Parts: sequence; structure tokens; C-alpha cells
Amino acid sequence: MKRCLRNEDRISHLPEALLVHILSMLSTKDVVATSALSKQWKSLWKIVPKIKLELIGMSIGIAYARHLRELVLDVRSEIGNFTFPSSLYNCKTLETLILRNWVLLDVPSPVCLKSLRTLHLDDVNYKDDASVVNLLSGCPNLENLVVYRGDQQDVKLFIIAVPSLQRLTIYDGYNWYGVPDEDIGGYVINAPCLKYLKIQGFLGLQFRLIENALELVDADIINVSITIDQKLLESLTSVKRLSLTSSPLELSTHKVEWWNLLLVMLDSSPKLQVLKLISEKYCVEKHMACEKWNQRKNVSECLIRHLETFVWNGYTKQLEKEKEVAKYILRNANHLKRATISVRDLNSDERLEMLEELESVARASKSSCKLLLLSE
Amino acid sequence: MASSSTNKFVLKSNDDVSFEVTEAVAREFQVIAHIIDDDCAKKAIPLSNVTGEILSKMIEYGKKHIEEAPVDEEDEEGKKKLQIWDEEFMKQFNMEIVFQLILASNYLNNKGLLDLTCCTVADHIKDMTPDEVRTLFNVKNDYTTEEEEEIRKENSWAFE
Repeated sequence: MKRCLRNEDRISHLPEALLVHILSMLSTKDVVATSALSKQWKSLWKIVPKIKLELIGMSIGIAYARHLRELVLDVRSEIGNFTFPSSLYNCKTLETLILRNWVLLDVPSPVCLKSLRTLHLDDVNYKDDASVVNLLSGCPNLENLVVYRGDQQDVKLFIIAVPSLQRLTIYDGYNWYGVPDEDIGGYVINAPCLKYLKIQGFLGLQFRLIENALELVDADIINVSITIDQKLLESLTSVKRLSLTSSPLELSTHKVEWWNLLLVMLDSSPKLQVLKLISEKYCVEKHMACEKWNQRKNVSECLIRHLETFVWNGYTKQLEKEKEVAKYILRNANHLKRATISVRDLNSDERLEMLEELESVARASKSSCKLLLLSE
Repeated sequence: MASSSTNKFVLKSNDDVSFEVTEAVAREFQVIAHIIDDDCAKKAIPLSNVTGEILSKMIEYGKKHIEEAPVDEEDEEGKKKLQIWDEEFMKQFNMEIVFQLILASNYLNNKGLLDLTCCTVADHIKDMTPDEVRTLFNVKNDYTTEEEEEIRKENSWAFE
């Protein structure tokens, strides 16, 4: 064996990056064994990139053997995905599972996670559509599900069929520009026990609720395209708090007009107490082709009986339709306590004029409403 | 400017040994390629971190990899031939020289030679006990007996 000529420790004096480079050429076992060389080597092996992923697998294996109940796995990796170990898909004790980032879910057959109640899938990767179905169908007691998705398009139709589900949060950050078509995919939700629903999506994404969620009390729907299935809207029959964020201009290119959607929402949410509308962009009048609100025969039940708070941000004065909607709500909401409308591009005279106009409408109703007009 | 096959450059080691090389060989080392591109290579290029002994070996490696470069990605035979040459090339060095070559190829930025020399060190660590690795590389064990015992216990599977 060729030893160093001088009795000098040349290897320990190499820059760390070069040492890591050398270690990355060794097997995991050999790399870990270098920890016994000297204090300098004690933790060096832990920063070798390929070792990091193997270590996660080993730690999970140990945790599994010890009847794991909660697992938070957050993988930050430069060299690719960590495939979630298949042995864990049959962990009977696991109650909470939080997976983040570079975790790959490859689930070729149904799992069995009997005790799982909370599942977070935070920016993880999926092998295919079936992996989602196989994972969720094996969680008979799942109550909370949080799905965050970024740009990856590894799942086209995200099917959530969980009869026990009570809370569902979906955030889909896929950056999609252009004209929506039928092919964009989306979410199918079959969760009849759902109580809390929060969806933040993007224009064109399809959300479809297969069964009505009759216990739904709280719904927060942000930026979801109005081409969503009517069943989702019909599910809002029991909702007590509804927050709807949308942009009329973007929505105006769709088949159903934004105003019509609002009407359906009001009609299908008889217990609604708080309504918040957010207009982000200017609306173009010519796109409006909807029912005349002031000629409606039936007033939505939530307006007559429950609506107490009405907030409209980004209201623009020029649009007759917007004014019509605002007046309609102010006129018909018998129990309205507070209406806050933030207006864009109005000088003080115009503001005063609008305030007077809206106040006269509000006064005509039976409510003792406090009307606030703000400038944005 | 003359073509790179005829254009010559002089590389000068830190112990004043000069080597005349073609531009192609000089460009095998990224750092020198940058110096040439920046047009700073009028006179001899001084390399303050490399001795003449090491530089001559690096130039030998660079020349070989220019002359015997595989024709393309699919030239398996050419790759194999060069690989055998690489192995023979490394056999002539003791560990002291290997470490000097690692530092020099890192400094002059030649990825092929850096990988080759690092791999030589890795091959020596492979399948060895920590004691053997310490002896080979003169690593001083500064653990107490208890501390080393603890480390070995933490990941006992790696020491079986």
C-alpha cells in the first residue's frame, strides 16, 4: 500500500467541498464509517447529498418499528425526489402525516392507514392519478386534508373520495394563462361529511362535488373559475360563512357570468351571514349579459333572514351592473348591520354622490345598516 | 489569432518550470481557458499553486485526453481505452502526489482529473476499517475511547 511519504494528514486538510466530493463516491456504509476517524469527520458524512436521502429512509424505518403516530417529512433536495417508503402505507398507528416538498408518492395499490386523521400533502409529487386515489381510499378515518400544489402537472384529475372528511383545504398554484378549455383537469370531491371547505385555485380549474355536503358551515372560495360544476354551489345550502374572491374581468370570458354565479351562490346559501366580494380588475360592461337584478321576483333567503355583513373591495363606479348588485343587496338584506364598500377612482364629489345614492337604498330596507364607503 | 492547434502558450509553475503547450491542451484547464479568453495570456501564464512536478503530470493527462478523446458519446471503445489509460496513469503516484493532484486540478478546474484523483482516494477508503483508513492517511484519532465507542454505537451497522 502506498502511504503518504511525509507523516502528514493530507486528507483531513482538503477543503470540505473536496472531501464531500470524495465521500460521495463511496457506499453509504463506508461514508458513515468515516465518522469514527476523528472529530473533524464526525458529522462530515451527513452533508454528502446522496446520503441524506438514504438516511431519511432509514429513520422512517426505525420510526415505523416504534409504532409511529405522527410523521412530518420535509425533504429539501438538490438531487431529486425521495420516494415515500411503501412499508409506511400500512402503518396502523399513524394518525398525522405531513409530507412536504421533494417527496414522491408512488402508490400502485390501495394503502391501509386505519388511524390516519390528518394528512397534509404540501407541494409533493405524485407518480400518477391512481396514486392519489390509492392513497386516499385507504384512509377510512381521515378528517383533515390539506392539499397544496404548485406547478407540477403530475396529476390531472385529483380525486378526493373520503366519506369521513370534515375539513378540506386545496391550494392550487399552477400558473396557467390563456383561454380555459375542457382539458385542464381539476378536482373531484366526494365528501358528504365536509364541514369546512377552502379552495384557492386558478381560472379554468374545474372543481366538481359529486355528493352534496349538507353539513358544510364554512366555505372560502378564492379565484376558482366559475365554470365549476353547479353541484359545488348546490352544496353550499347549509353554509353560514361564505367568502368569494373573484375577478369579474377574468371571469367574463366564461359561459356563465360572474353576476349569475353570485346569484346562484346567494340562492344556495340560505344561512349566509357574511358576504365578501373582491373585484380585482376592471370589468368590461359589454361582457355582461345577465338577468336584471332589479327585476327578480324572488329574493334570496339569506338576504331576507341572515346576511349581516357585506364587504365589497375594489368596487368600480362606472359599471351599472355592479351598482345594480350593490343596490340589490342593500335593499333586500333585512338584517344587514354593516356594509363596507371600497371604491376605486372616485373624486370626493363622486364619492358623496354615490354614498347618498346607496344610503337611500339602504334606508328603504328594514335594516339599521351602517354603510361605509372607502377609497382604495 | 492563429488556430488553436498551432497557437502555443507557456505555463509556468511556482518553482519556475515552464511548459509550452498548444492552446487545446491549455484549454483543458478551465481557469487557463478563461485567462486566454480574457486575452491576458500574452506572456507565460504563472500558476502560483502548482509545482513543476505536478504541472507536468497534469499536462500529460490533458494531452492524452485531447489526443485520445472519444469520437462521440457513443464511442464506447474510445472511452474504455482512455479509462484504462487513466487507471495506469494513477498507479504511478503515491498518496502525497495524489493529494497534490486533487488540489491542483481543483485549482485549475479540470473536472475529469479531479474526479479521477478523488476516485483514487475513495478506492483506498473503500472496504477499510476506520483504523486502516487512519493509518493509510495519517489521520490522528482525537476521540477518547468512550467518544469513539459512542460514535460506533450510533450507527453500529456501518461498522459491522
